[in-house]
Amino acid sequence: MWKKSRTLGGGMIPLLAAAIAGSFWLLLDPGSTLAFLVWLAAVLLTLAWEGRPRLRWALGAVLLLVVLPMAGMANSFLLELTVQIGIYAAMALGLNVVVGLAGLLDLGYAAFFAVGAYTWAIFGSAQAAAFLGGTFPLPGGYFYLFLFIAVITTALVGVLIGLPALRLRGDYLAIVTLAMGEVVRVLANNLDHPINITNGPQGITPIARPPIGWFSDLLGSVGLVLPAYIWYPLFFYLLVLLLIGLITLVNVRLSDSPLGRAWVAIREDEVAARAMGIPLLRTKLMAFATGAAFSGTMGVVFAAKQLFVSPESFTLVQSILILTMVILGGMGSIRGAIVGAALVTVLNLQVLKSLSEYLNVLRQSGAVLDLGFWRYDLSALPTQLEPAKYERLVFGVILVAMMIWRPEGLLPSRRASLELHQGE
Amino acid sequence: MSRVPYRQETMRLEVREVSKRFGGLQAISRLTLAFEAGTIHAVIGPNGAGKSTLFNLLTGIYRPDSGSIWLHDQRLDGRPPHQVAAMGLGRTFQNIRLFDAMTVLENCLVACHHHLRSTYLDAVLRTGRFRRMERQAMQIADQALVIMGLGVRRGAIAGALSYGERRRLEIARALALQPRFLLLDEPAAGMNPQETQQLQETIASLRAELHLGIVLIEHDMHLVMGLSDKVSVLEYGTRIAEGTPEAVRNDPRVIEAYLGQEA
Ligand SMILES: Nc1ncnc2c1ncn2[C@@H]1O[C@H](COP(=O)(O)OP(=O)(O)OP(=O)(O)O)[C@@H](O)[C@H]1O
Ligand SMILES: [Mg+2]
Repeated sequence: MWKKSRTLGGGMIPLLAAAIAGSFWLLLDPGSTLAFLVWLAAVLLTLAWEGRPRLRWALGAVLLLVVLPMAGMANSFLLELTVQIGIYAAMALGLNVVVGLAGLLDLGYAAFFAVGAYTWAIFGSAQAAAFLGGTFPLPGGYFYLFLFIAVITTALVGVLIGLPALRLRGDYLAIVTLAMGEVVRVLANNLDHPINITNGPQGITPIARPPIGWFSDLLGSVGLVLPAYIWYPLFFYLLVLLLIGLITLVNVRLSDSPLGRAWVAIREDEVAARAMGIPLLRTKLMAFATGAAFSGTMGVVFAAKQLFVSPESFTLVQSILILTMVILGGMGSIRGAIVGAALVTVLNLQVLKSLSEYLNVLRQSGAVLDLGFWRYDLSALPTQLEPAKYERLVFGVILVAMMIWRPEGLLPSRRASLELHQGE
Repeated sequence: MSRVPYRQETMRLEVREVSKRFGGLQAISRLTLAFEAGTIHAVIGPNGAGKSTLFNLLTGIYRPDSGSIWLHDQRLDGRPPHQVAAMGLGRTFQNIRLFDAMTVLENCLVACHHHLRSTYLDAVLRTGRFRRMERQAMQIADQALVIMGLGVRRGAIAGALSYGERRRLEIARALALQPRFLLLDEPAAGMNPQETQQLQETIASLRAELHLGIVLIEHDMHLVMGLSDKVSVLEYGTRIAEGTPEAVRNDPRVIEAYLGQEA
């Protein structure tokens, strides 16, 4: 007991230090990648920290609801980036149900994201008129309704894909879901004829954004008069935070319920689970549909935020990326999924890109590295050395490294950590 | 799939003319057996006689090639395992199959849910019904754990239990199903003499207090003779003898089957 409270006290100081340093730095220099990384580290540490729930909530609220929006005024790319992290985090939470809890290796998860995105893209643009006639796009207000419609349609697609696929086990399931994911992408690519539903490889644009007059009024009524260009980034940022909150709540409650226990039981031993009264196919379908619904909702947000969707956004690499997040964070761990999503997205969108730019600067500076015994002309750095292009290599290395050194993930679920470290 | 009334004194679990073949191997051939509620019925026989296969047939994990299986007046064969479990057949496995990553309590909770109806939405919204069902499940699971002497281990991870505890947890989990018939596949295998003695007392009390029908596959003859009301002997998938423990022990065919195996 004593030891426990000591380690918690020990965690608090670096946490507060990171939070304060990151916040001030980010506010003073909103364009700095490093400042953002420190801020993000503070958010993730807050999430990972075990002690003092009230302090944790307060800290999280300040970091997410005050610091970032304020920094975002100066550099709206920050909002853009965090929305992207949030969309991935929500999807990682969905895939966590399927892979982490139920143990069903789904390699076509991006398909559900695609279905959600296209659901709004088609009806929120003139595209629907191409095969339905009538007047489209639907008014932007329908966006809010489509958040729910996407839950239902993607859950149904999840069941449809799951029905044949879930009769298979292990590796076979992985292969079939991979194929199904590709089928969805190829459909999106080719359903521009004979009837033009998806507009094929060109994709669909422009897609309606939700009207947010009420949102700016709301901001104004609490005394926040903000420039108009920040409304949408801020709106999407807050919307994604809200959705992640909801998805996390659903996730937590399901995983501590009969259904959640049934998922884990199936993952642990299918035969025993069936003999204890668990209907196999139905329980697996529920996992598939739940994961699909989370992903589909975020697809709608993605479509409205990007104003553009095309089959390119829903490739196998996307599915693997989300899987990497789940494994990095810790299979079956809710906080892990969020942390994994943040780290992978930042690495992908920010760190690798910055490294590339930095190498470029070095290359052009013509500086010479002189260690006395060894001289290196930096302009001779090979142009192929471009970290931004190595994303697949980097994620492959992460996966392998995790499997070797920390198979339970960065923030393991309670069950996994108890199981893997019972002897310690 | 309605449940049969609880204290049905005459309730029987019956296997009629059942056969099961694996490739060229006739594992069970035209086997007929009946188990009664409130009795302990041992099924013994040499290795490979088809005892575990019989359990897999009873619980829907295998489908018989021919013949039928009945619980009271309801046909079991052809139903998926989860339905058979819900109708009242709880079982353990010869090679222990626990949910290792879950706690001892959670292992039992998994088995409680077939008879508690709370829905997806109940769980998400944490309705009153959901909390009531969870409390009820917790009670059933705890009761099963206490019966098997695992009450103090409820928070431990199943994978961390000792061998004897794992065997007992398997029985507790099957009890949490609230079964009519409890099928135990070599429950004493790997236990030390004290643990076996303890197990014998527990099994006897299950019959007396819960009026369970217990089907016991066991190689420990001392346990079999000490517990059973009736013994059936299988060899090559057929029944070669049946009766009281004394009668079976002295049956020349049984002696031959066992000697033949050891020779
Ligand atoms: N799924 C299966 N596929 C093929 N053969 C099987 C299968 N299950 C059992 N068998 C075979 O059927 C025969 C009966 O096996 P079973 O496990 O029922 O024996 P048992 O009486 O339980 O033996 P033991 O005392 O060793 O547990 C054995 O020869 C076994 O190899
Ligand atoms: Mg056996």
